Amino acid sequence: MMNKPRLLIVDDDPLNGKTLADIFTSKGYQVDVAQSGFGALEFARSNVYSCVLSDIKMERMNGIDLLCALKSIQPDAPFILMTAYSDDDLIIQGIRNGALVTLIKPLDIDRLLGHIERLVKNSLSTRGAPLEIK
Amino acid sequence: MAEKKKILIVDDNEQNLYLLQVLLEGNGYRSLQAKSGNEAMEIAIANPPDMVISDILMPGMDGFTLCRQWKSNDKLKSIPFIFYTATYTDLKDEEFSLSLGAARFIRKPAEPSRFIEIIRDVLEEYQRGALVEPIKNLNGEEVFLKKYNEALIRKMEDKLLELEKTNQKLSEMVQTSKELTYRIEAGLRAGHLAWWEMQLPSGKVTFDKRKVDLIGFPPEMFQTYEDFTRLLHPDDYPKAMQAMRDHLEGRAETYEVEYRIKTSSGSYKWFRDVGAITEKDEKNEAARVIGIVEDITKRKEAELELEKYSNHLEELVAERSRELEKAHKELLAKEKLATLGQLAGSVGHELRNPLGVISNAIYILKSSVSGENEKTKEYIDLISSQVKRSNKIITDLLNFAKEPMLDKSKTSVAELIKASLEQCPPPENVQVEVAGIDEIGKINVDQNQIMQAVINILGNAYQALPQGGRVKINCTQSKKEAHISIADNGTGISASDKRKLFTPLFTTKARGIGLGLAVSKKFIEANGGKIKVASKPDKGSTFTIILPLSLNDE
Repeated sequence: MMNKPRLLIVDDDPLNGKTLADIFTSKGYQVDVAQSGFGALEFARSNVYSCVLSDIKMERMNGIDLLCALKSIQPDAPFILMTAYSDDDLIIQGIRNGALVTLIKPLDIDRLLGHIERLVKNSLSTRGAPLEIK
Repeated sequence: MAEKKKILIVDDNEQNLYLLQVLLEGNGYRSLQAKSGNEAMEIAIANPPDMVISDILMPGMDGFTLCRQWKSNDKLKSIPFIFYTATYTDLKDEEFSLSLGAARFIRKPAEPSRFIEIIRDVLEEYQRGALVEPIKNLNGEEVFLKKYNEALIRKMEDKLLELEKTNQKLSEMVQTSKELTYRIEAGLRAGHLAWWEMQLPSGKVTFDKRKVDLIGFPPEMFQTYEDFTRLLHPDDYPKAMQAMRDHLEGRAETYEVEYRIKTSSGSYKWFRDVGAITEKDEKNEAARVIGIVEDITKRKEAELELEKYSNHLEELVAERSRELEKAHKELLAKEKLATLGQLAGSVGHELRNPLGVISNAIYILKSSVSGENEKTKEYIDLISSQVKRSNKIITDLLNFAKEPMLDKSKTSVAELIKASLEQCPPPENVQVEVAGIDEIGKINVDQNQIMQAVINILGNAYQALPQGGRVKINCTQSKKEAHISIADNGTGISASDKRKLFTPLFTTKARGIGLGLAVSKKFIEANGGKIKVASKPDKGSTFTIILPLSLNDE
């Protein structure tokens, strides 16, 4: 059996991270949860992700900073932003810096699952079998 | 006691007669008066006096002739004759007088004491018989006439000279008077003034021709005061009459009034009229009133204009004050709302995180309880719907609090309505009828915002139909605008509620924060549109969204 696609969830609200992790785990993904941008970079140094799902507003390093930093480590990892602030300037910055999707909390989980499924498929087809790499 | 001496005074001037009479009677004499030589002779013959005092120049018979006749009359010739004269006296006159037999020649004016002294001396001489007899060599008629003529000619020459002087003085006076009249006339003309005069009790008026020029009628029209007063403006007539009465009856020091008077063209002119009594009759009642009228039409018009303007100004100020007050209130309300909006915004955002967690948790619960307890499922659905509802409130708040950022695109009204109905489907007991959506042009709007507005109005329509009913969506278009009307046959809105309908935080519902219509209006206006409402209680409401149509071929 092939390795499960691996997702990285970044949110300073641990409950959001936990519930999302539970949902994705139940859908067959391997999930890591970081509570800050620094924690996320830590994970990204040792793991390759099929998709990164990050909150925007976080202290010290926000979602956009993380997105930019991740580009040098895992330039091909698709990035999804989520936020409670629908009118945030940071959303536009995120899109300019290559975020593929922005979702407003509370999340429409079915829609999110759809996006991730599609992104994972795409990344598998373009990157051969990166999931083999440990 | 000795009888008072009688003295006959002869003078053609009554005043002189009187003065001498007073002087003589004051000094213990009796006096007789004659105004001419003839009269003097008559009186003297009938009642010979003790002395005669005569002037020289008198009409009819002059003093010289009188003296000659006196001295020729046997009954009178011994009675002393004194000349008392002011006119053109000359040493030769005195000489001539004395030659005629006069006792003295006194020049006017004489000191009264000196005059009385002379009288006393002469009377005493007369009594002593010391008076000189007339010089006989003058008795010859020829000599007398020669001297007499010489004296008279001298006197006439002097008189002529005097007349010339008087004439000169008179012509100077006439000149001065002309000059004065000229100045007055010029002044009156320059000041748009004219004089008038009224005689009482006749009421006859005399007036400056300019007075009628000022109102343009022929002067013949005016004979009496009433001829003027009947032209007065009806509103001014009573006060003009009152002013005249007040002055004539002594209640006002002057007659002074401003009135309008009809001119020959039919329009009215304003005048200021001032006058005063100048003469009174023996009963101390006004006999003559003189005054001046001034044309003050221009001043009055300016005053009226000013008054009008000042009234208008007051109105303007009042209106402006009301506007300012309203603006101030609105500003306060806006500030309050802005603060509230900010607060609501941050609270709303913060609430979305826990709502997100709850919503995630529900998702997990739903998948883990599948096929189990129905009750649990029902409650999970309930939590889910309430999370959605909470999120809707937060979304309204955030939409209201933020400045809308427009993302316009050419939008099909039909698609917009369909999408709105999909997101906000009617309850089971409500039928939705849609008409005209395919015939209408496209609109250039921010699709999300207009959809939000339509959804809010649809939601309200459903809520107005608790017992069920129908909602009609009708689309029409005019030249430049699309009209989307959403009508329900529900509970309707009262007139007082209708006024507050779009006011933020106004709500008639037990639940809801009253931002739906405020947000709808904000979005519609941000997209260049308008929203209108028509409603009758128990008949239903119709909301119409009017938006500019997209320009062709974009």
